[in-house]
Amino acid sequence: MLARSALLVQSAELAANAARAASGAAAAQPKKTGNRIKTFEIYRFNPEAPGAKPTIQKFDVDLDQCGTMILDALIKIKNEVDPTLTFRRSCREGICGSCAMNIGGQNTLACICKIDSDTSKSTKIYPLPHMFVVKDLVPDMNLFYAQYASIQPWIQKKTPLTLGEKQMHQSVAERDRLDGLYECILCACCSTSCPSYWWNADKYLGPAVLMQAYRWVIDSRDDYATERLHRMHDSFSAFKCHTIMNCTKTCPKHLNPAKAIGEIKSLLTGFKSKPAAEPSAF
Amino acid sequence: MINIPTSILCRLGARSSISRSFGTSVVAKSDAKTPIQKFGWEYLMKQRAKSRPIAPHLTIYQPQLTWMLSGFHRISGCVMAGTLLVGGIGFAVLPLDFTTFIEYIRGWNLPCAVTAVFKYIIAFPIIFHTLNGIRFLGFDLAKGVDNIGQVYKSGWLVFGVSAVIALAIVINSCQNKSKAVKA
Repeated sequence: MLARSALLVQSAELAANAARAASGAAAAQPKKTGNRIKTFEIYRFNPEAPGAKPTIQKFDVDLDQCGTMILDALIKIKNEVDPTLTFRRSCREGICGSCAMNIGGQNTLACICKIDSDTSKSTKIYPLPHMFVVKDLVPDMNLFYAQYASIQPWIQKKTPLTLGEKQMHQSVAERDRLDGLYECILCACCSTSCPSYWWNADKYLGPAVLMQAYRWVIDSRDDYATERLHRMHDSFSAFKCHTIMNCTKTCPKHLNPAKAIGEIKSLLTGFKSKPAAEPSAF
Repeated sequence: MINIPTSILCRLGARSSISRSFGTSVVAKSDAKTPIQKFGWEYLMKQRAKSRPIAPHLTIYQPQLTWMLSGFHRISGCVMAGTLLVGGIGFAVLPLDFTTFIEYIRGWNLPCAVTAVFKYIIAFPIIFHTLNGIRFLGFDLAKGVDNIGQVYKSGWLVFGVSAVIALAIVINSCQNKSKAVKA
Protein backbone atom coordinates (compact mmCIF):
# COMPACT_ATOMS: atom_id res chain seq x y z
CA MET A 1 0.00 0.00 0.00
CA LEU A 2 2.73 2.44 1.06
CA ALA A 3 4.90 1.45 -1.88
CA ARG A 4 1.98 1.92 -4.20
CA SER A 5 1.18 5.40 -2.91
CA ALA A 6 4.89 6.30 -3.14
CA LEU A 7 4.82 5.18 -6.77
CA LEU A 8 1.72 7.27 -7.34
CA VAL A 9 3.41 10.32 -5.84
CA GLN A 10 6.43 9.73 -8.07
CA SER A 11 4.35 9.44 -11.21
CA ALA A 12 2.35 12.52 -10.23
CA GLU A 13 5.61 14.43 -9.82
CA LEU A 14 6.82 13.20 -13.20
CA ALA A 15 3.58 14.34 -14.81
CA ALA A 16 3.81 17.71 -13.09
CA ASN A 17 7.42 18.14 -14.25
CA ALA A 18 6.45 17.27 -17.80
CA ALA A 19 3.60 19.76 -17.66
CA ARG A 20 5.94 22.42 -16.27
CA ALA A 21 8.45 21.74 -19.06
CA ALA A 22 5.71 21.93 -21.67
CA SER A 23 4.31 25.21 -20.34
CA GLY A 24 7.87 26.60 -20.10
CA ALA A 25 8.41 25.76 -23.76
CA ALA A 26 5.12 27.41 -24.67
CA ALA A 27 6.04 30.54 -22.71
CA ALA A 28 9.38 30.74 -24.51
CA GLN A 29 7.66 30.93 -27.88
CA PRO A 30 7.26 34.54 -29.03
CA LYS A 31 3.81 34.08 -30.62
CA LYS A 32 0.93 34.97 -28.33
CA THR A 33 -2.37 34.00 -29.89
CA GLY A 34 -4.48 35.65 -27.23
CA ASN A 35 -7.80 34.48 -28.63
CA ARG A 36 -8.70 32.82 -25.33
CA ILE A 37 -8.19 35.75 -22.99
CA LYS A 38 -10.49 35.39 -19.98
CA THR A 39 -11.25 38.26 -17.61
CA PHE A 40 -11.50 37.57 -13.89
CA GLU A 41 -13.12 40.15 -11.63
CA ILE A 42 -11.72 39.60 -8.17
CA TYR A 43 -12.75 41.15 -4.85
CA ARG A 44 -9.84 43.03 -3.29
CA PHE A 45 -9.50 44.45 0.21
CA ASN A 46 -6.25 45.64 1.69
CA PRO A 47 -6.42 45.98 5.50
CA GLU A 48 -2.97 47.66 5.63
CA ALA A 49 -4.14 50.81 3.83
CA PRO A 50 -5.91 53.06 6.36
CA GLY A 51 -9.59 53.61 5.57
CA ALA A 52 -9.43 51.23 2.61
CA LYS A 53 -12.68 50.11 1.00
CA PRO A 54 -13.19 46.81 -0.85
CA THR A 55 -12.77 47.05 -4.62
CA ILE A 56 -13.16 44.81 -7.67
CA GLN A 57 -10.01 44.34 -9.75
CA LYS A 58 -9.95 42.88 -13.27
CA PHE A 59 -7.25 40.45 -14.38
CA ASP A 60 -6.84 39.05 -17.90
CA VAL A 61 -5.55 35.49 -18.16
CA ASP A 62 -4.67 33.60 -21.36
CA LEU A 63 -6.45 30.27 -20.93
CA ASP A 64 -3.98 28.58 -23.31
CA GLN A 65 -1.26 29.36 -20.78
CA CYS A 66 -3.25 28.35 -17.71
CA GLY A 67 -4.50 25.21 -15.97
CA THR A 68 -8.16 24.21 -16.15
CA MET A 69 -9.32 25.19 -12.68
CA ILE A 70 -10.09 28.57 -11.08
CA LEU A 71 -7.31 27.94 -8.55
CA ASP A 72 -4.81 27.57 -11.43
CA ALA A 73 -5.85 31.01 -12.68
CA LEU A 74 -5.57 32.53 -9.19
CA ILE A 75 -2.09 31.06 -8.69
CA LYS A 76 -1.08 32.26 -12.16
CA ILE A 77 -2.25 35.79 -11.37
CA LYS A 78 -0.43 35.75 -8.03
CA ASN A 79 2.78 34.42 -9.59
CA GLU A 80 2.87 36.52 -12.73
CA VAL A 81 0.73 39.63 -12.32
CA ASP A 82 0.05 40.67 -8.73
CA PRO A 83 1.83 38.91 -5.84
CA THR A 84 -0.33 40.80 -3.33
CA LEU A 85 -3.45 38.85 -4.34
CA THR A 86 -4.30 36.88 -1.20
CA PHE A 87 -6.26 33.63 -0.95
CA ARG A 88 -6.09 30.34 0.94
CA ARG A 89 -5.15 27.13 -0.82
CA SER A 90 -3.48 23.87 0.04
CA CYS A 91 -4.33 20.48 -1.43
CA ARG A 92 -5.52 21.62 -4.91
CA GLU A 93 -7.72 18.50 -5.13
CA GLY A 94 -10.86 19.28 -3.17
CA ILE A 95 -10.10 17.60 0.14
CA CYS A 96 -8.72 20.34 2.40
CA GLY A 97 -11.45 22.92 1.91
CA SER A 98 -9.05 25.87 2.10
CA CYS A 99 -9.90 27.51 -1.23
CA ALA A 100 -13.65 27.84 -0.60
CA MET A 101 -14.91 31.06 -2.20
CA ASN A 102 -17.81 32.49 -4.19
CA ILE A 103 -17.13 31.87 -7.89
CA GLY A 104 -19.64 33.09 -10.49
CA GLY A 105 -22.21 33.57 -7.72
CA GLN A 106 -21.91 30.10 -6.21
CA ASN A 107 -19.87 28.95 -3.24
CA THR A 108 -17.44 26.24 -4.24
CA LEU A 109 -13.81 25.16 -4.03
CA ALA A 110 -11.58 27.03 -6.50
CA CYS A 111 -9.44 23.91 -7.01
CA ILE A 112 -12.29 21.74 -8.33
CA CYS A 113 -14.21 24.48 -10.18
CA LYS A 114 -13.47 24.55 -13.90
CA ILE A 115 -12.85 27.90 -15.56
CA ASP A 116 -15.81 28.79 -17.78
CA SER A 117 -14.16 28.76 -21.24
CA ASP A 118 -16.66 31.33 -22.59
CA THR A 119 -14.23 34.26 -22.82
CA SER A 120 -16.95 36.76 -23.74
CA LYS A 121 -18.10 36.74 -20.11
CA SER A 122 -15.92 37.54 -17.13
CA THR A 123 -15.85 35.33 -14.03
CA LYS A 124 -16.47 37.08 -10.72
CA ILE A 125 -14.69 35.82 -7.64
CA TYR A 126 -15.67 36.94 -4.13
CA PRO A 127 -14.83 35.69 -0.63
CA LEU A 128 -17.37 33.47 1.14
CA PRO A 129 -20.55 35.58 1.43
CA HIS A 130 -21.32 37.60 4.59
CA MET A 131 -18.06 36.70 6.31
CA PHE A 132 -15.73 39.29 7.80
CA VAL A 133 -12.89 39.75 5.32
CA VAL A 134 -9.31 39.64 6.61
CA LYS A 135 -7.77 40.36 3.21
CA ASP A 136 -8.88 39.87 -0.42
CA LEU A 137 -10.42 36.37 -0.60
CA VAL A 138 -9.50 35.38 2.97
CA PRO A 139 -12.46 35.44 5.40
CA ASP A 140 -12.24 35.14 9.19
CA MET A 141 -13.33 31.59 10.05
CA ASN A 142 -12.98 31.72 13.86
CA LEU A 143 -16.70 31.73 14.66
CA PHE A 144 -17.30 28.79 12.31
CA TYR A 145 -14.57 26.75 14.01
CA ALA A 146 -15.78 27.72 17.50
CA GLN A 147 -19.28 26.58 16.56
CA TYR A 148 -17.87 23.29 15.34
CA ALA A 149 -16.02 22.84 18.63
CA SER A 150 -19.22 23.65 20.56
CA ILE A 151 -20.98 20.52 19.27
CA GLN A 152 -18.17 18.42 20.76
CA PRO A 153 -17.26 16.44 17.64
CA TRP A 154 -15.82 13.37 19.32
CA ILE A 155 -17.17 10.07 20.62
CA GLN A 156 -18.45 10.11 24.21
CA LYS A 157 -19.19 6.98 26.26
CA LYS A 158 -21.12 6.61 29.52
CA THR A 159 -19.28 3.45 30.51
CA PRO A 160 -15.57 3.74 31.35
CA LEU A 161 -13.40 2.68 28.46
CA THR A 162 -10.00 1.03 28.46
CA LEU A 163 -8.30 1.76 25.18
CA GLY A 164 -7.16 -1.38 23.37
CA GLU A 165 -9.30 -3.67 25.52
CA LYS A 166 -12.10 -4.34 23.06
CA GLN A 167 -13.54 -3.13 19.79
CA MET A 168 -16.36 -0.59 19.77
CA HIS A 169 -18.78 -2.73 17.82
CA GLN A 170 -20.83 -1.24 15.01
CA SER A 171 -22.97 -3.21 12.57
CA VAL A 172 -22.82 -2.63 8.82
CA ALA A 173 -26.22 -0.88 8.92
CA GLU A 174 -25.10 1.35 11.77
CA ARG A 175 -21.94 2.30 9.91
CA ASP A 176 -23.96 3.01 6.76
CA ARG A 177 -25.83 5.73 8.63
CA LEU A 178 -22.63 7.80 8.80
CA ASP A 179 -22.11 7.78 5.03
CA GLY A 180 -22.78 11.17 3.48
CA LEU A 181 -22.07 12.82 6.85
CA TYR A 182 -18.47 12.06 7.78
CA GLU A 183 -17.10 13.13 4.35
CA CYS A 184 -17.63 16.82 5.16
CA ILE A 185 -14.38 18.79 4.83
CA LEU A 186 -15.66 21.86 6.73
CA CYS A 187 -15.00 24.27 3.88
CA ALA A 188 -17.98 26.37 5.04
CA CYS A 189 -19.41 26.69 1.51
CA CYS A 190 -22.85 25.61 2.76
CA SER A 191 -22.98 27.69 5.93
CA THR A 192 -21.99 30.85 4.04
CA SER A 193 -24.56 30.17 1.29
CA CYS A 194 -27.36 30.15 3.87
CA PRO A 195 -29.33 33.42 4.25
CA SER A 196 -30.35 32.32 7.77
CA TYR A 197 -26.67 32.04 8.68
CA TRP A 198 -25.98 35.41 7.05
CA TRP A 199 -28.47 37.18 9.32
CA ASN A 200 -28.00 35.06 12.49
CA ALA A 201 -24.41 33.80 12.43
CA ASP A 202 -24.09 34.31 16.19
CA LYS A 203 -27.14 32.26 17.22
CA TYR A 204 -27.70 29.79 14.37
CA LEU A 205 -25.10 27.03 14.08
CA GLY A 206 -25.31 26.76 10.28
CA PRO A 207 -25.65 23.72 8.00
CA ALA A 208 -22.05 22.45 8.16
CA VAL A 209 -21.92 22.40 11.95
CA LEU A 210 -25.45 20.97 12.26
CA MET A 211 -24.62 18.14 9.88
CA GLN A 212 -21.60 17.26 12.02
CA ALA A 213 -23.78 17.52 15.15
CA TYR A 214 -26.15 14.99 13.55
CA ARG A 215 -23.19 12.78 12.60
CA TRP A 216 -22.35 12.40 16.32
CA VAL A 217 -25.98 12.22 17.46
CA ILE A 218 -26.76 9.17 15.34
CA ASP A 219 -23.41 7.41 15.79
CA SER A 220 -24.41 4.10 17.42
CA ARG A 221 -21.25 4.12 19.55
CA ASP A 222 -22.00 7.52 21.13
CA ASP A 223 -23.99 7.55 24.40
CA TYR A 224 -24.78 11.28 24.68
CA ALA A 225 -27.36 11.84 21.92
CA THR A 226 -29.90 13.36 24.35
CA GLU A 227 -27.37 15.80 25.81
CA ARG A 228 -26.14 16.73 22.31
CA LEU A 229 -29.70 17.45 21.21
CA HIS A 230 -30.43 19.45 24.36
CA ARG A 231 -27.60 21.85 23.50
CA MET A 232 -29.43 22.74 20.24
CA HIS A 233 -32.82 22.85 21.89
CA ASP A 234 -33.50 26.61 21.59
CA SER A 235 -35.35 28.44 18.84
CA PHE A 236 -32.17 29.48 17.00
CA SER A 237 -29.36 26.85 17.11
CA ALA A 238 -31.11 24.40 14.78
CA PHE A 239 -34.62 25.77 14.28
CA LYS A 240 -33.39 28.92 12.52
CA CYS A 241 -33.09 26.69 9.44
CA HIS A 242 -35.91 27.81 7.13
CA THR A 243 -35.40 24.96 4.63
CA ILE A 244 -33.98 27.30 1.99
CA MET A 245 -31.82 24.41 0.63
CA ASN A 246 -28.91 26.57 -0.60
CA CYS A 247 -26.61 24.34 1.48
CA THR A 248 -27.38 21.12 -0.40
CA LYS A 249 -27.36 23.01 -3.70
CA THR A 250 -23.88 24.43 -3.18
CA CYS A 251 -21.96 21.62 -1.39
CA PRO A 252 -18.82 20.94 -3.47
CA LYS A 253 -18.66 17.42 -2.01
CA HIS A 254 -22.30 16.73 -3.00
CA LEU A 255 -23.36 16.08 0.58
CA ASN A 256 -26.80 16.87 1.98
CA PRO A 257 -26.72 19.15 5.07
CA ALA A 258 -30.41 20.07 4.60
CA LYS A 259 -31.48 16.48 5.17
CA ALA A 260 -29.32 16.18 8.28
CA ILE A 261 -30.94 19.33 9.70
CA GLY A 262 -34.38 17.87 8.91
CA GLU A 263 -33.39 14.76 10.87
CA ILE A 264 -32.21 16.90 13.80
CA LYS A 265 -35.54 18.77 13.81
CA SER A 266 -37.39 15.43 13.72
CA LEU A 267 -35.37 14.24 16.72
CA LEU A 268 -35.89 17.51 18.60
CA THR A 269 -39.65 17.49 18.04
CA GLY A 270 -40.03 13.82 18.91
CA PHE A 271 -41.14 12.67 15.44
CA LYS A 272 -38.15 10.34 15.34
CA SER A 273 -35.82 8.88 17.92
CA LYS A 274 -32.30 7.54 17.75
CA PRO A 275 -32.34 3.76 17.11
CA ALA A 276 -30.92 1.69 19.96
CA ALA A 277 -27.44 0.33 19.35
CA GLU A 278 -27.32 -3.27 18.14
CA PRO A 279 -25.78 -5.59 20.76
CA SER A 280 -22.18 -6.53 20.23
CA ALA A 281 -21.56 -10.03 18.91
CA PHE A 282 -18.31 -10.32 20.87
CA MET B 1 -46.18 36.25 32.71
CA ILE B 2 -44.98 34.04 29.88
CA ASN B 3 -43.26 31.69 32.35
CA ILE B 4 -46.48 30.11 33.54
CA PRO B 5 -47.66 28.53 30.27
CA THR B 6 -44.06 27.58 29.40
CA SER B 7 -43.59 25.60 32.61
CA ILE B 8 -46.95 23.90 32.15
CA LEU B 9 -46.00 22.90 28.61
CA CYS B 10 -42.63 21.62 29.84
CA ARG B 11 -44.31 19.47 32.45
CA LEU B 12 -46.79 18.13 29.93
CA GLY B 13 -43.89 17.32 27.61
CA ALA B 14 -41.83 15.60 30.29
CA ARG B 15 -44.74 13.35 31.27
CA SER B 16 -44.44 11.23 28.13
CA SER B 17 -41.39 9.43 26.80
CA ILE B 18 -37.88 10.89 26.53
CA SER B 19 -38.25 11.75 22.87
CA ARG B 20 -41.46 13.63 23.61
CA SER B 21 -39.57 15.86 26.06
CA PHE B 22 -38.17 17.66 23.00
CA GLY B 23 -41.71 18.43 21.91
CA THR B 24 -41.84 21.84 23.57
CA SER B 25 -38.72 23.14 21.87
CA VAL B 26 -40.19 26.24 20.28
CA VAL B 27 -41.77 27.44 23.51
CA ALA B 28 -38.99 26.55 25.93
CA LYS B 29 -36.07 28.85 26.85
CA SER B 30 -35.97 31.03 23.78
CA ASP B 31 -34.36 33.94 25.63
CA ALA B 32 -31.45 32.15 27.30
CA LYS B 33 -28.37 32.10 25.09
CA THR B 34 -26.17 29.01 24.90
CA PRO B 35 -22.44 29.54 25.57
CA ILE B 36 -21.62 29.43 21.85
CA GLN B 37 -24.35 31.99 21.11
CA LYS B 38 -22.81 34.33 23.70
CA PHE B 39 -19.41 33.76 22.10
CA GLY B 40 -20.93 34.38 18.67
CA TRP B 41 -22.32 37.76 19.68
CA GLU B 42 -18.99 38.82 21.25
CA TYR B 43 -17.21 37.64 18.10
CA LEU B 44 -19.46 39.74 15.85
CA MET B 45 -18.90 42.82 18.03
CA LYS B 46 -15.11 42.32 18.00
CA GLN B 47 -15.04 41.90 14.23
CA ARG B 48 -17.17 45.01 13.79
CA ALA B 49 -14.74 46.95 16.00
CA LYS B 50 -11.88 45.89 13.73
CA SER B 51 -13.85 47.58 10.89
CA ARG B 52 -13.40 44.60 8.62
CA PRO B 53 -15.77 44.65 5.64
CA ILE B 54 -18.51 42.02 5.32
CA ALA B 55 -18.15 40.04 2.09
CA PRO B 56 -20.95 40.78 -0.41
CA HIS B 57 -23.86 38.32 -0.16
CA LEU B 58 -27.46 38.85 -1.41
CA THR B 59 -26.35 41.05 -4.30
CA ILE B 60 -23.74 38.67 -5.70
CA TYR B 61 -25.21 35.23 -4.95
CA GLN B 62 -26.48 33.45 -8.07
CA PRO B 63 -30.30 33.45 -8.26
CA GLN B 64 -31.25 29.81 -7.67
CA LEU B 65 -34.64 28.15 -7.42
CA THR B 66 -33.86 27.18 -3.81
CA TRP B 67 -33.61 30.61 -2.23
CA MET B 68 -35.80 32.38 -4.80
CA LEU B 69 -38.80 30.18 -3.85
CA SER B 70 -37.97 30.51 -0.16
CA GLY B 71 -37.77 34.28 -0.51
CA PHE B 72 -41.07 34.44 -2.38
CA HIS B 73 -42.65 32.20 0.27
CA ARG B 74 -41.50 34.60 2.99
CA ILE B 75 -42.50 37.77 1.11
CA SER B 76 -45.90 36.42 0.03
CA GLY B 77 -46.57 35.32 3.62
CA CYS B 78 -45.69 38.75 5.02
CA VAL B 79 -47.73 40.62 2.39
CA MET B 80 -50.78 38.40 2.91
CA ALA B 81 -50.55 38.69 6.71
CA GLY B 82 -50.17 42.46 6.36
CA THR B 83 -53.15 42.69 4.01
CA LEU B 84 -55.27 40.61 6.37
CA LEU B 85 -54.28 42.77 9.34
CA VAL B 86 -54.76 46.12 7.59
CA GLY B 87 -57.95 44.92 5.85
CA GLY B 88 -59.39 43.41 9.04
CA ILE B 89 -58.74 46.47 11.18
CA GLY B 90 -59.71 48.80 8.34
CA PHE B 91 -63.10 47.21 7.73
CA ALA B 92 -63.74 47.02 11.49
CA VAL B 93 -62.89 50.68 12.14
CA LEU B 94 -63.97 52.46 8.94
CA PRO B 95 -67.66 53.08 8.21
CA LEU B 96 -67.39 50.69 5.26
CA ASP B 97 -67.87 46.92 5.28
CA PHE B 98 -66.37 44.34 2.97
CA THR B 99 -69.55 43.68 0.96
CA THR B 100 -70.23 47.35 0.16
CA PHE B 101 -66.52 47.75 -0.76
CA ILE B 102 -66.75 44.87 -3.25
CA GLU B 103 -70.07 46.12 -4.63
CA TYR B 104 -68.51 49.57 -5.04
CA ILE B 105 -65.68 48.11 -7.16
CA ARG B 106 -68.17 46.00 -9.09
CA GLY B 107 -70.00 49.21 -9.87
CA TRP B 108 -67.01 50.38 -11.92
CA ASN B 109 -67.82 47.61 -14.45
CA LEU B 110 -64.16 46.96 -15.23
CA PRO B 111 -63.47 44.76 -18.25
CA CYS B 112 -62.83 41.08 -17.47
CA ALA B 113 -59.18 41.31 -18.57
CA VAL B 114 -58.40 43.90 -15.88
CA THR B 115 -60.18 42.11 -13.02
CA ALA B 116 -58.61 38.80 -14.09
CA VAL B 117 -55.10 40.24 -13.62
CA PHE B 118 -55.93 41.47 -10.12
CA LYS B 119 -57.64 38.19 -9.26
CA TYR B 120 -54.52 36.30 -10.39
CA ILE B 121 -52.28 38.54 -8.28
CA ILE B 122 -54.44 37.68 -5.26
CA ALA B 123 -54.96 33.97 -6.03
CA PHE B 124 -51.38 32.98 -6.92
CA PRO B 125 -49.67 33.89 -3.61
CA ILE B 126 -52.40 32.19 -1.57
CA ILE B 127 -52.08 28.90 -3.47
CA PHE B 128 -48.30 29.07 -3.77
CA HIS B 129 -47.86 29.81 -0.07
CA THR B 130 -50.15 26.92 0.87
CA LEU B 131 -48.53 24.34 -1.40
CA ASN B 132 -44.98 25.49 -0.72
CA GLY B 133 -45.78 25.53 2.99
CA ILE B 134 -46.58 21.81 2.77
CA ARG B 135 -43.33 21.27 0.83
CA PHE B 136 -41.37 23.11 3.53
CA LEU B 137 -43.06 21.11 6.31
CA GLY B 138 -41.82 18.00 4.52
CA PHE B 139 -38.29 19.45 4.43
CA ASP B 140 -38.52 20.13 8.18
CA LEU B 141 -39.12 16.39 8.67
CA ALA B 142 -36.30 15.43 6.25
CA LYS B 143 -38.86 14.31 3.64
CA GLY B 144 -38.25 15.03 -0.05
CA VAL B 145 -34.64 16.13 0.47
CA ASP B 146 -32.77 12.99 -0.52
CA ASN B 147 -30.88 14.94 -3.18
CA ILE B 148 -30.90 18.37 -4.79
CA GLY B 149 -32.70 16.99 -7.88
CA GLN B 150 -35.69 16.07 -5.73
CA VAL B 151 -35.72 19.56 -4.18
CA TYR B 152 -35.71 21.17 -7.63
CA LYS B 153 -38.43 18.86 -8.96
CA SER B 154 -40.78 19.57 -6.06
CA GLY B 155 -39.95 23.27 -6.34
CA TRP B 156 -40.88 23.52 -10.02
CA LEU B 157 -43.92 21.30 -9.40
CA VAL B 158 -45.24 23.55 -6.63
CA PHE B 159 -44.59 26.67 -8.71
CA GLY B 160 -46.21 25.20 -11.84
CA VAL B 161 -49.21 23.67 -10.07
CA SER B 162 -49.95 26.91 -8.19
CA ALA B 163 -49.75 28.86 -11.47
CA VAL B 164 -52.21 26.44 -13.10
CA ILE B 165 -54.64 26.36 -10.16
CA ALA B 166 -54.61 30.16 -9.90
CA LEU B 167 -55.31 30.37 -13.63
CA ALA B 168 -58.17 27.86 -13.31
CA ILE B 169 -59.72 29.88 -10.48
CA VAL B 170 -59.49 33.12 -12.46
CA ILE B 171 -60.97 31.55 -15.62
CA ASN B 172 -63.74 29.97 -13.59
CA SER B 173 -64.64 33.26 -11.91
CA CYS B 174 -64.64 35.05 -15.30
CA GLN B 175 -67.03 32.41 -16.71
CA ASN B 176 -69.29 32.77 -13.67
CA LYS B 177 -69.30 36.51 -14.20
CA SER B 178 -70.34 36.27 -17.87
CA LYS B 179 -73.05 33.72 -16.93
CA ALA B 180 -74.34 36.10 -14.27
CA VAL B 181 -74.42 38.93 -16.81
CA LYS B 182 -76.40 36.80 -19.30
CA ALA B 183 -78.93 35.60 -16.69
